[in-house]
Amino acid sequence: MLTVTDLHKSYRSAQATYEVLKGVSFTVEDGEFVAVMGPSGSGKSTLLNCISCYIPFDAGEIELGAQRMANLPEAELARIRNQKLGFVFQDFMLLDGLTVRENIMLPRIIAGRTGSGMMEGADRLMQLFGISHIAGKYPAEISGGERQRTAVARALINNPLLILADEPTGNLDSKASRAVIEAFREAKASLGATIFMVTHDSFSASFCDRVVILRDGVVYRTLESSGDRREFQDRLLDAIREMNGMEG
Amino acid sequence: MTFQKLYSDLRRKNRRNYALLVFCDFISVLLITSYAAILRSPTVLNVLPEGGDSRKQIYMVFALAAIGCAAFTLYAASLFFRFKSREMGTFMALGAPKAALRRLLYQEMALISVISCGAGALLGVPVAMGVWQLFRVFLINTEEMVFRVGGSVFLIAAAFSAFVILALFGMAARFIRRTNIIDIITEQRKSEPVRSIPRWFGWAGILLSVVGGLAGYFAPLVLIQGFHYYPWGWENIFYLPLLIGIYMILLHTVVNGWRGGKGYYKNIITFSMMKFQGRQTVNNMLVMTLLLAGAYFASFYTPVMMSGHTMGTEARHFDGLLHYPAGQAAPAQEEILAMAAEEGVEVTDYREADCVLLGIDGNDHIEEGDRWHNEYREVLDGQLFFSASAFEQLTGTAVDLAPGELCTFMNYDGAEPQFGSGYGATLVTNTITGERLNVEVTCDLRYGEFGSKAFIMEDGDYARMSAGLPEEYREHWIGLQVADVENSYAFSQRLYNEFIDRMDPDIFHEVSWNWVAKAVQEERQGYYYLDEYESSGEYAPDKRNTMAFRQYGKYTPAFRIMESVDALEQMAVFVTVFLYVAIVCYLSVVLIGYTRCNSIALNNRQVYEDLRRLGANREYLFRAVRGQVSRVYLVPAIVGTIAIYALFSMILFANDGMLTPSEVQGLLACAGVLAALSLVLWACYRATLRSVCKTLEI
Repeated sequence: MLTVTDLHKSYRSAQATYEVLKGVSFTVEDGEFVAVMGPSGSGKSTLLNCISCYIPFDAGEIELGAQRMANLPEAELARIRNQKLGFVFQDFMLLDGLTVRENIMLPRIIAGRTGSGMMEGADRLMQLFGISHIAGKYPAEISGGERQRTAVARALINNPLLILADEPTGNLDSKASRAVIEAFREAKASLGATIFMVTHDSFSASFCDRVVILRDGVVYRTLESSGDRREFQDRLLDAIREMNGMEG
Repeated sequence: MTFQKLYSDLRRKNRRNYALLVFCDFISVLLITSYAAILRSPTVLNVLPEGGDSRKQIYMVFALAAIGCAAFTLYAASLFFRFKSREMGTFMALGAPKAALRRLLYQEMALISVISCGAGALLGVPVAMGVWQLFRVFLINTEEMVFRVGGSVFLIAAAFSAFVILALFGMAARFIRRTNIIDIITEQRKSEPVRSIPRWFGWAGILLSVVGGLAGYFAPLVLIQGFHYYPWGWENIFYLPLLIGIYMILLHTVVNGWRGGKGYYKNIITFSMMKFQGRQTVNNMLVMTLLLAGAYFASFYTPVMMSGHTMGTEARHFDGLLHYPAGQAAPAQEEILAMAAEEGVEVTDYREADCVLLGIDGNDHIEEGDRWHNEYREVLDGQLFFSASAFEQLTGTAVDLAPGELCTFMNYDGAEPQFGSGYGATLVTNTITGERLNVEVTCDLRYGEFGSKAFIMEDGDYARMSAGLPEEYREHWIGLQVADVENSYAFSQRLYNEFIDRMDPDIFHEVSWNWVAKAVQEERQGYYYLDEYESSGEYAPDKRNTMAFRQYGKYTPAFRIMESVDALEQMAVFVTVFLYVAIVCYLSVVLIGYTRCNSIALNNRQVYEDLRRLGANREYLFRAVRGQVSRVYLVPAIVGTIAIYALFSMILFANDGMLTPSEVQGLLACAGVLAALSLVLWACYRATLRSVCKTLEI
């Protein structure tokens, strides 16, 4: 589904060049729920932004399905973002002037596929994530958890190949975080969605099938879930402690 | 639902942001158009002499207003695009094609341009006419005040509108061209921090301001006097250090403050917020400072002019002074006294004397392109000459002169008269007989009435030099004193009209016009420049109530009471123009200050919310808001006020190397104007503070 090979990305300031990604490689299989963890500055968000085509990368390869993502023209990148990718942001990125339903339908409206099925699709997703009762409300009128579930529904409306989530629980309390993670699991189970999530939260990550741990711009370790969430969270915490110990 | 429909729904929901941009652009175009309507009105152009200081000053302040309004529109547009960034960034992130977004954005810009620029340009002229009419109704109404619209106002309005439209489309194009979506999405949250600056910045700024003010003023004088070169405008670059200095002062005030770190922790919120909004805030404050300086400069005109005029009128030696060429049928003494008696005026003193027109030598100022040089001419111009005894007969002042000695005139306060004193004259010529006399100017008298146009010579010299002159080279003067000046208006006006009606209409010219100059110039170059200058007929008798006729007319009778009572009417157009300009600049300052303070408040809403959560009480929050709003308003007010007052004082001083009593009085009057306008600004600051507090629910 997603293959990242030897990815390099650096930022240049007036004084210096900072290499953030130093040859990251991994894959995400169809229907997999994968998380990326790592300390601040390890390159998690940069990695996600490169996969999202939000920022260009310096070297390496990103393949989404059979599509190579390097050097694509602007219009083609927009098409991929709209139809093959779904996004969930830490601060939701819902448009304040649109209702919950309109926000969910937004990718379909952008694609011009506003015919029959759009409304039903949105209603089905709202029902799936338990937000039907707020369909006509505006983002300012709903809770953080509801906003993020709205964002998850929006990410799924176009049946994308891959959902990219950047710290989706970062701004939420534990109850709302749990609801959002449940929404991802529901999307995976009911809709067969493939999810790639950046998080620093081991609890959220423990719901994933696999966790890639980044450190200083390279993959430090990849851990796979055995199916036991608690055991997986313990292993994640051990790995992080070990990594921090190395740093110390 | 289509994307287009959804986008218009969003626009409706966010109409406040659109309305703000439309309002800012509309106000800018409106102000500039109405300013231009005043500036380019034939009513004003006819009164402000071409190449004169008044016109230059008005254009200079117009340039400041245009810069201010341009900066204001750019700022409003940048605020708009910051607000749009989140929306556009989300669309891009969700895969909206850039071409579609670009189309939508351009459509919006076109709509905003048409509404704001169209309405501003269309309403600018009616607004100018309306305000002008209000001035006529409530302030001054003379025949010169009839407002006429010049065609070029629409060109200026179109040019400024074009700038606004180009700025909007340029910024929209730059906005949509960006490729890094993360940058676009996070644009709204970006601060504009100012880098740390050393503490000497403030004092260096003050020093640079002083240097810039001096260099800007004296550079043209050095170029003209020292290098015989007339710069075409580039010399204003010497004011640049003043601009940089003011910027440094503002920067230092925002970043460091002037208390050497004292009270830093007390005002830590204000400091940090200002610092992180710094770049735009300081730019806005600079524009406000310049506009305030422009507003004050324009508002100084009336008090300085009026105090100079009042003191000059009070210092006159005659309650009435008339002169005319010999041979004219002017009212005789008996008629004048009878007229006075009919009007209930007692004439306490009545004097008459004669004088003649002779040629005087001097340097002819010749301009060739941007260069000039002097050429000495034995007969340069004509001047009136009184004999010492005639002058004593007219004024009662005895002058002791030896043969070959002349006495010239200064203003009542000792300053040189408007067109120069007679010092430097060495040769007097009777241009009819050819008789010549080598002379030396040995004294001066403080008679503003004769300044720049007359000399006194020894009686023997006068008898010899005046022999053989025809009638038109001889003048007769009448001086009057009345018992009660305050009650002499009706008499003065009657005599004024009677006198003009009795004269041959052809004798009325511009004050410098004379037969000697006409003869020598026509012989040398084939024409007399004042004949061409007067071709519009502005010194004809039917223009007797205009400012030009009253102030610059040859043979215009001068009455103390008329000059005193009619002063404001005579200067009506000048006063109104400068008042209008001051209002435009002032209004711009208040608009910029209000908008900037509210945008700082909106950008920092979260900080105030967090502070509230951290336990800050209302008083603390209010102090933090007040710290910001007061900086935006008060710092430009203080810097602008000090800078323009210092510059203006320097200009008055440097004019003639002294501050005359009327200039001192004018400066005191200006200080009063500053105090009054500062109070108005204070009221605007308080209103803005209340508005910001309301926005932040403090």
